[in-house]
Amino acid sequence: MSERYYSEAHIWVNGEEGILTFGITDHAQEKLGDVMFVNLPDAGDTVEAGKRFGDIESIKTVSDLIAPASGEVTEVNTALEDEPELLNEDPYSNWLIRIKADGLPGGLMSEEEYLSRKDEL
Amino acid sequence: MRYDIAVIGGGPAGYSAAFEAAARGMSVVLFEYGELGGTCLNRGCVPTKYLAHAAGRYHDAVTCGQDGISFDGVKLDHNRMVSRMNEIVGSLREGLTGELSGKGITVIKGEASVLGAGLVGCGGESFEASGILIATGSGSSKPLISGAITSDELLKLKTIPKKLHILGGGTVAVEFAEIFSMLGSSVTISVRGERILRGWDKEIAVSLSRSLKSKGVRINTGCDLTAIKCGDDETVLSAAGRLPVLPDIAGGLVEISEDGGIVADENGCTSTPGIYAAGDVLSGSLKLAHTSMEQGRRAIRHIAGENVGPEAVPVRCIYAGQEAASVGCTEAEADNAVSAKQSMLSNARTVISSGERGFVKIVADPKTHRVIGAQLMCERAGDMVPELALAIDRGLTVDEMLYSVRPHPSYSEAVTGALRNLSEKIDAL
Ligand SMILES: Cc1cc2nc3c(=O)[nH]c(=O)nc-3n(C[C@H](O)[C@H](O)[C@H](O)COP(=O)(O)OP(=O)(O)OC[C@H]3O[C@@H](n4cnc5c(N)ncnc54)[C@H](O)[C@@H]3O)c2cc1C
Repeated sequence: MSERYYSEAHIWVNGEEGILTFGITDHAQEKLGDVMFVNLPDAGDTVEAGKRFGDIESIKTVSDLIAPASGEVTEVNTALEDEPELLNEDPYSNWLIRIKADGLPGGLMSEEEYLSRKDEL
Repeated sequence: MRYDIAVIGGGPAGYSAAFEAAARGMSVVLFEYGELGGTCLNRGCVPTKYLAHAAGRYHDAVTCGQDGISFDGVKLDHNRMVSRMNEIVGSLREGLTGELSGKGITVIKGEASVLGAGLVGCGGESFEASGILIATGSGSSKPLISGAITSDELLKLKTIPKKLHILGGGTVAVEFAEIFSMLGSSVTISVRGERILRGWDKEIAVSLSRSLKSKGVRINTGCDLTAIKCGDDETVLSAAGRLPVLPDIAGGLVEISEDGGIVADENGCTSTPGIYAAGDVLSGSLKLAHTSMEQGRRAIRHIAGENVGPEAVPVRCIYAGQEAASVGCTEAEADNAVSAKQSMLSNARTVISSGERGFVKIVADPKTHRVIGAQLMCERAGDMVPELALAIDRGLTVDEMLYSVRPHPSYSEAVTGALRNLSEKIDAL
């Protein structure tokens, strides 16, 4: 698997051959607490960088998911519809959506940078 | 015989129109060949909501252990349940019959036809009327596969099916799935698309799907419904939509659309002046009782020469799971809309009662701050949605809605919560 990059909105991204995969970070899942529901777009929808592409509902709160890049959704992790708690178990193997995009967007952080800044974001 | 108004069909559209006309002092004749109350009272809303209520009680009796209540040997008497259903339908029908005659409305039993503008025929007699309203409703479409039954027949079953396979994933399908799974049937839903409740907000569809699965309902997606075979020991319900029922209408008087419904404008006017249509018989109709009622009343106001005004925003409900309701647009449907959600997990009343996950989501236009839509999945969603419909119809803003206080502890506090989240989001833009 290629390297993961991180957005300020606590989304991880990794990219392979024109497809980007988004997920939430371990820090985000920890802050949210028990995830009760994940609201995601459908394949064929488009997402826009900096805009909401869904939301995550936890016991405590509802948080918007902000897209780190723009593109058309090619795949949605529908397993999360019935088992949103997978995000608490392993937020890195349980991705959210995949989009078609040319390369990685700018402005993302490396793992090291994200880990050092995550609490102030 | 001469009347001001002749109404064909005694369902919600027809009887609401008849009452509206009688209230204006008009003389009214109403024709009904089946039973007064139409689909809604006899084969639709009323019997299904009774069954949902009764099945819910049975389910509660079996599951209320957490409240410290338990019963020994809870029994289900299906015959008693069905006779109670028929009693309720019968008493409402009696009430309706009495109200119609009390208002001086002439009810004629028989099949009516439109002979011409201002002329209705029934049982070999002709009736003149200045205004004719066609409110003949809809019927179940032919079952998708042989051996399958329609909702009319499902309501008449003598026993609870061991296995129920439902073809289609609309509101009626979902409601029956929940009812029969609570009554102990093993239920499967098969749909053509990728999920149930096409045309509903995705979050409502996915959440209800999860709630049904948690009650043991299997949901098969991406199916070729016509290729499904009826198993020997299963009852198959074909819930694949309803078709308009047309009376005999003299040639060319009204335009019929491709979906088989009558083409009419927002006041029910057809292509012939003086001939109106309302309810499920309309082309593109939402097939809802309350919408049909309002269409019937609008037609009468138009006939009376009143200023009818713009149509109210339609409200839709699903009486399954907790309940779901939708009004206006979803965030996905509107350009540049903002939406915010309040989870029911932090709503005291919900935690006290079911403790089930649910939400109230409100959509606004960030420029005008006006509320333009709402989607709810929570207990009493159907009773909570009217204030949001009123807000949309009256152009209220998020702040105007926040001005009103909602009681504590109530489910409606989640409306305040969603509005507050929405207001914060709009301010942050
Ligand atoms: C299982 C089920 C559950 C439903 N649940 C709900 C619900 O919870 N909420 C909701 O809003 N809607 C519900 N509906 C839909 C609702 O029942 C219909 O939208 C509503 O009944 C439409 O009203 P209507 O007056 O247009 O037609 P109908 O109710 O169909 O009434 C038409 C009447 O016209 C009569 N008629 C037809 N042709 C003639 C003729 N030529 N001469 C004389 N009489 C004639 C018929 O006998 C009938 O009584 C449900 C429907 C079904 C099938």
